[in-house]
Formats: sequence, structure tokens, C-alpha cells
Amino acid sequence: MQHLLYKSLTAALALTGCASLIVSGELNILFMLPGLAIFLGYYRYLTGKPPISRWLVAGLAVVEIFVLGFDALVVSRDFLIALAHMTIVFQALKSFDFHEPWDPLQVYFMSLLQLIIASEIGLSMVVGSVFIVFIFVFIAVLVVSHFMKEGTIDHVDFRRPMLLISITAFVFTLVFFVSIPRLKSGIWGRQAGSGIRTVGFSGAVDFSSFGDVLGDDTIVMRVEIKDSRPVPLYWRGSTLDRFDGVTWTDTFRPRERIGSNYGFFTFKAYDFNLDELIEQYVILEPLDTEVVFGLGEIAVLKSQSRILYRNKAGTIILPQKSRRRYSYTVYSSLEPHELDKDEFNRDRVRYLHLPRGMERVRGLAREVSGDQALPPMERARLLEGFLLNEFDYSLQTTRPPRGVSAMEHFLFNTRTGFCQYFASSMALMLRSIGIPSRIVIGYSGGEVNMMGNYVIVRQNNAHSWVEAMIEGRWRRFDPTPLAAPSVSTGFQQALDSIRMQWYRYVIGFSGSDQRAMVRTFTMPVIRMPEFRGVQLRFRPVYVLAVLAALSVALYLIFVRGIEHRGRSYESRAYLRFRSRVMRMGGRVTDSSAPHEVLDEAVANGVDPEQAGEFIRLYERARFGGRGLDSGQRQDCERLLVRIFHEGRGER
Amino acid sequence: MRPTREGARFLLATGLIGLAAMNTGNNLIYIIFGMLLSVLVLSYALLRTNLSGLLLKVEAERPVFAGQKAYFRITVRNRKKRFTSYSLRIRFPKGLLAEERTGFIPVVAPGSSETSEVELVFRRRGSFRYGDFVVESSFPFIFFYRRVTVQVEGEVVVYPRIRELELDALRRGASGERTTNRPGRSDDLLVIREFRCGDDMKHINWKASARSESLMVKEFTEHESRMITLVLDNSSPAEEFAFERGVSFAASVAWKLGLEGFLVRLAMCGAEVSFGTGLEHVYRVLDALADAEDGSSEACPGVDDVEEGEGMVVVILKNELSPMAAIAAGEGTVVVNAASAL
Repeated sequence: MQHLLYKSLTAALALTGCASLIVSGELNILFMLPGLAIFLGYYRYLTGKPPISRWLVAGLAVVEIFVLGFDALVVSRDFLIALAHMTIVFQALKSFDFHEPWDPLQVYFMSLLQLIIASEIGLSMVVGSVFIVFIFVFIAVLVVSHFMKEGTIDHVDFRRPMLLISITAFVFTLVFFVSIPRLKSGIWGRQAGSGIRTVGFSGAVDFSSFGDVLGDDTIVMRVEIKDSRPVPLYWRGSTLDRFDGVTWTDTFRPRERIGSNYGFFTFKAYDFNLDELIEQYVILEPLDTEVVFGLGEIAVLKSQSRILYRNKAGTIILPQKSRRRYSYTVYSSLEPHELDKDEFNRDRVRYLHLPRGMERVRGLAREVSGDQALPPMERARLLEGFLLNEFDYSLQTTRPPRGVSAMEHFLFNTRTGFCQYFASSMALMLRSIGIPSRIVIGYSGGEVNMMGNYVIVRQNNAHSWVEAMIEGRWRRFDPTPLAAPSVSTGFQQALDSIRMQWYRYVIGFSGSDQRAMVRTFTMPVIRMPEFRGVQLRFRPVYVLAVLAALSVALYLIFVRGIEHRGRSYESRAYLRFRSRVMRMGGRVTDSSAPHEVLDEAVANGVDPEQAGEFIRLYERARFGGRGLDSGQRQDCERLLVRIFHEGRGER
Repeated sequence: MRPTREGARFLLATGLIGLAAMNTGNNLIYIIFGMLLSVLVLSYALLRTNLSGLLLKVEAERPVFAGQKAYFRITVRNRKKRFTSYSLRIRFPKGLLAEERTGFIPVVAPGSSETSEVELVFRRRGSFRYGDFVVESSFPFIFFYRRVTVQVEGEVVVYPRIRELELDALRRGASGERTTNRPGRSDDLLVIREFRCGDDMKHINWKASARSESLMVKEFTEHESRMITLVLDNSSPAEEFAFERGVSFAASVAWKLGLEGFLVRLAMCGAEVSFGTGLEHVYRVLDALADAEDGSSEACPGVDDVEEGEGMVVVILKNELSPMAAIAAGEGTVVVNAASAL
């Protein structure tokens, strides 16, 4: 009779697997209904009722495979969803079909498959909770299954090892999770990222993922603005000029290298009066970008860096991502300056580029922007107003139907989205009516700290807007309507914070996070002091090489050392003997018995009497239960010396 | 560490999930992958720990006869200070037995010992060194198992197969009234002598004791009939079957009559066990028979070695050309053809 706990854990694992799929919210209730039989099946299983006929189970399984085909091709039109439906039904069928003690193994693997499917179709925190439960139950049930298989479950107190192993496995799982290199080859199937994202600055605007976008209260920078604060605040980061239908990217390469002049970097090519510029002292938190932020167009920047870069679009870039807070002072102009016509014309095509399939967008733009004879500024204002008034702001987006682009889905179907949708739509519509445009990404607004009289900018303030080339200047347009103010309770905020951590550190854990962790742990070791004019840098390959060498050294010192120390003198001496015989060419394995090692030693020229004496001493001490005393150990050592040095030397 | 059938599937699943994680970059799949890797690491670490620090001791319960159930006690001592060892399966060395037998110890607490009794049957007689026992475990999961070889010192002597024999004729033939001048258990008085430590109190002769003013006891003679000499012909190689039957016959006679109190002697080429009685003596005879080899080149017993008046002589001959055939010609000798001995 199978142990009740074993049965219960099996049932728990099956239900956890099914729950992970159900909580994703993507499944069709109709196709899940047969899965309700799982409760009856496990009730029968737990109460010791006999399994039902295998033929019946096999027949129903065949029917379910046909249902899978129908589901995948006609109903859900998604193989993964159809597979999820099928696994739930299979779990239900299996609950009636436990014939052998090892049958629950099929349930474990099926649950594992369900979890993988769940991780592909839903990334919510509830799925994450199910994951944690699953890990514990899975490991526990594996330990219990061992005792089940050995038939000792009723004779051994397995609860303690089960608990300890489950906890240890969980810790190991976390360690592996953070340390496995993140390789995303994307050869087949869906790619990660097709889920929820968080608000924040990123180097590109991407429309390949849909779902919730969550707020992030992480502080990005603190800014002191000298004199009066302009309103509104647009912290300009970088510009994006090319759209391929899915992603906006910055195509300006190469970057101009600018050296420091007594700590000052001058970027603006035209004359300016420093007194007319707005001075901002910025403390930038470590970010996953090299871009420097400032209000409007940055003319002068003062910092301790030795070099900075600037591209043609006016983006200021640090030589590398800052690993610690980076402070600087910028002097910038809110008024766009007039560009050199010839120079701009060289890049004009770039700012008018449209991807394929934008006919509907072009039609809408023409319809909204009115008469072509209207001045560009007026037409741009019409487009901006159209988006501001006719569309709603939302951090929730839905996946467009097959064959419809994200932009079309936004403009013609949902009419809701967040800043990237608005800015992208306006930029594309401007281009489609012949006005050069680009997207600007950065931050807008901020929270004024009245105590310190500075502005706190958070990731929540990340924003995208549009710049259009009108009358020789880049004019700013912001077509994003204001989001409805939301008032959240403390509980909601706490919950949101947990969700934020889940998405940030589990779903969104990336290679750069791993590198940051390595930097954090290795910084005290590898970071060298910076001397005036001398900056020592470590290439990652050197660091990896040093780490690899350290790992090998630690392995040799500790693991081998511990192994060695854990053995008795007799075993150590015998292992030395065995390893020498192996080096001499003896065919010895770990499972070779001492007399076999002796035979091999003799076959390779070792004196049989001395080697035999050594083995005799070893066997007597090792298996006789009494270790060698100090005199015998000395004899042993002398024997080893004679066997492998003197004896062979004489030959 | 080797995978079981389930372990092979587990490894395959781990590989596929690893590929899926790398293909999709999905962190939840990385979690599952991490969990499977942790199962692998724990399997390796715990399998090593589980089988380390164990001391194995094997004892056979005497006597062990070929073809009969024998009982072995396997004791495992866990010398580890903290870790309990679970699910230890001890495999007997290959070659020791015709069939594979294992002992199983479910759990051994740190610093303690556990014993398992294993019932097994030896097909052949002889002395067998224990050799390499294999201790195996698949704890903590069912995916991998590990084996360590442990050489156990000592040997087990398997006595020849004991057959059910009709021994009444031998008993009757050896039950004459002749007595010897050796002390024994007959009713015929041999001598009255001074009491010695160990003498039976009921044999004290009170009259003689009174006369001599010291304790005197009666000593009786021994019947010659309770002495039996087994002569086993192992002089020249013969058919193994016939020789084994002869050995088995000799062992059966020694075992049965020895336990009935007969004085049993064994003589064969290269070995002789002189007259004696009691269980330990029977074991000595059986030890010699367990290791008896056919075609011995050692000196064989002759007619002079079997003196008249030393009880019944049973000669187990392989053929008439044997140098021991001369003994068979003696008076009161029973000749048994080895090939048809049983």
C-alpha cells in the first residue's frame, strides 16, 4: 500500500501544475472542464479505490489528442494554449490510472511540463508563487519517492531529510538561477519578454511586447536647478531616428569624442551666453545606460570625466555605464537653435524614413492634419491635438491580431497606450506628411523636494516625446495625454512593490544584473585606486581568467584537501600507492580492489614482496578495524619510498 | 554516480529545459532549469556523503552447507558524526554465489551500527574469501545511484552437501560388544582410580574411597563400535561428479554420526583428522572435507594407518585401482563406491 503522504504530495504536485496554468488566465474554460475530473480521480486515489481500466484511459487519451489538434488549429489557434489544455486533461486521466508505484513519476514530469508552459504564457506573480510551491513539493516528492521505491517509507523517518533537502534544493535553485549565464538564442518559438514590463528609461523603444507596464519608484536622479525652475521639465536623454515597424533605434554612428577642458565640455557649435543657459547640478544614480540627462539642449557640461561623447543628434554619452553615482553640472538651452541647412539636409532622409505597411497611418495623418497648404507647425499641432484628445493613456496594452502592426492596433483599434505609442504614432504621422521627426527619450517632470529644493526624478518619470524639424529648428511636441491620477492605499502600494520586485529581479533578471552582482562581489578585490591621470582598468576577460584560476586553486586546496583530510592515513597512503600505479600505466579504476591494484603494480615492475607487504598492511588496518600505529606508519612510508623510488631506481 | 532509468529521462528533461531556457530567455524556465540542476548537484553530493565513512562487517552463521540455506549477518557501522546514511544495499561479491544476493539496511544513524541478515545458498563446497562487496545507494532521489567497493577480510567455509542417508547398517555394524582398554562410556569397568577434577560425581566408588581415605572413581571402558574411520579416496583425478558424491557421503556420515556421539576419524591423501567427538571435532572433519581436492599428490593413508580394533572403517573408493583399495580389503571394512555413494 502506498503511503498516504506520498499520494497526497503526488496529488498536490498535479494540482500545482494545473493551477500554474489556470492562474495565467489564458486558458479556455470549456477545454479545462474535463480537467475537473482530477478531483474525483485523486479522491479515489487517496481513499485507496482501484484504478479504472487502462483501455478506457488510453481511449480517452487518444480522444484528447484529437481535441488538441482541433483546439490548436480551430479554437485557440495557439499550440501552447492547446497543449496546456491537454496537460490538464491528461493529469485528470492519470489520477484514475495509478497501477504501479512509479506511476506518479509521470505526474511529476507532466507537472514540470505544465510549469514550463505556464512560464511561457503568463509571468504574473501568482504564477511565481505557484513556482515556489512547486519547487518545494517537487523536491519533497522526489525524496519520498526514493523511500517508496526502496519500500522503507513505513520504517524510516523521512520527514527530516525531506525537509532539509527541500530547503537546500530551494537555496541551490536560487543560486543557479542568478548564476546561469543568460543566453537568449531565440532559435525557435516564443521569446521571453512577451509579457509585462516596467516603466523606465531604455536605449530603444520597442513594440514587441504587450501586457502590463508597472510603475517603478526607483530614483534616477536628483537635480538642483539654479534660479527659477522652468515648467514643464523635460529631461532630454537620447533621440531615436529609425523605426523598423517594431523598434525605434538611434542610428547615429560614430560618436564625436570630446575632451575635457579643465573639467568643462563644450558641445554647442554656435555662440551662446553662459548666463542665458539654465544651470543644473545633477546627481545621477547608476543606470543601465551611458546617456547623460539634462533639460533641453545641453551646451556645456562640467564633470570629473576625462572624455565624453556626443552624437550628431545631440545625445551626450559617457565612456561607460557609471557603476556609482555620477554627478555633473549642465548648462542647457530650452530654446532650440537653428540648424545649418546643408548639414541637416544630409540627414533629412533619415528623419523621413517610414517602414513598410504604413499606408493606413499615412491616410490617417493626411486626414487629421488637414489641408496640405497649412504651415507645418499648424499641421503638427493638429496631429498632436488629435492624439491628445481622441486617445486615452493606459499602461495596459494588448497583443495586436495577426497581421496588424502595433501602431495600427493602437491608432485604429484600442486607441489606448502609453507615451511610447503616442510619440511613435505622431512621429510616423509627421513623417508620412513630409515633416522630418524623431523620438526623444528621457524623463519628464519630477517631484520637488521642498526641504532641499531639488527635483527628484524617478523611473516612473520616464517619458518619450517627439521633435519635429520645423522652420530649421527641432520643435518639441508631446502628444501623450495626462494619465488619470490614481490614489492607492498602503496595501496596494505594498503589493505593487512586491510585484515590482518580482518583475524586476525574477522576470527581468538579466545578464547585466549578473554582471552587476559580480561587480558588487568583486569590487573590493579588483577595483584599484584611481591616481591622478592614471586609471587602471580591468578587462572582463582578465577578471574571468583570475576567477577561473581562483576556482581551480580553491578546488585543489579545499575540495581535494577536504577529501584527503576526511580519509584515514591508511586510505591516503593506499590512494597514493594506487595513483602511482596508475601513472606507471596500471589499468586501475576507482572500483579496483587492492589485490587488483597489487597485480597491476607487479605487472608494471614493482617489487611484488614489498608491494604485497604494503597491501597487507593496508588491508589489515583498513578492514581489520584497527588503524596503524606511528611505527607502522613509518614502515608504510619507507615501503612506499622503496617501492617507487629505490626499487625502480635499481632496475 | 550512474543514472537509473528514471535518471536518464531526468537528464534528458534537464537538457531540453536548459535548451528551452536559452532559446526563450524566459527567467521562469531558468528557475525550473536551476531547480533541476540543484537536484543533480544534491544527488551527487548526498550520494557521496551517504556512502562515505561506512564500515562493513560480514559474518556467516556456522555451519554453512552447500545446497542449504545459510545466514549471513551484514553489519554496517556509520562512522560519520552528523550524517545519517539511508537505503544501503549491499551486494555480495560476484562469483561467491551462483545467484545475485543483496542485503538492505534502510537507515544507519551517525555513530551507530545496523545489521541485516541475508539468507543465501551456496552451490559448491569450499573455502571462499569474502572479497569485494559492493555497497550501493540511490539516496536521496531515484535518478542516480552510486556504488563503492569494499573489500571484506575473512572467508566462509562451505561444507559439503549433507544428504539424507540410511545409516542404520553402519550403526549396527559398529555396535559389537567388544570393548577397548580406553576409557569410555560402556558398562564394563576399566579401573578404579583417584578422583580428578571434572569426573562425574555419580561414578564415585564410596567403598574404595573409604578404604583408601581419598575419593576414588570408577572408570569404564569404551566400546570399539562407536568409532568410525572415514577413508576418502582422493588419490587420482576422477570424474568430478563421483568425487563430489564421495565427499558429500563422507560429510553426511561424519555429520550424522558425529552428532550421535561417535568418535569420527577422517583419512585421505594429504589430510587426516584423528579420532574425536563433539561438535567442534565434527567441524574439523567438515573443514577438511570442504577443502578436499581430487587428485592429491600428497601421501595417502595405507593399511598400516587403519589399525584393527579402532572401530569401523568406511572406505569411499572411486575405483579399484586406487592405492587405498588395500585398506578396503581389511576385516570389518565397509567399502562404498563413490559414484553410487548416495
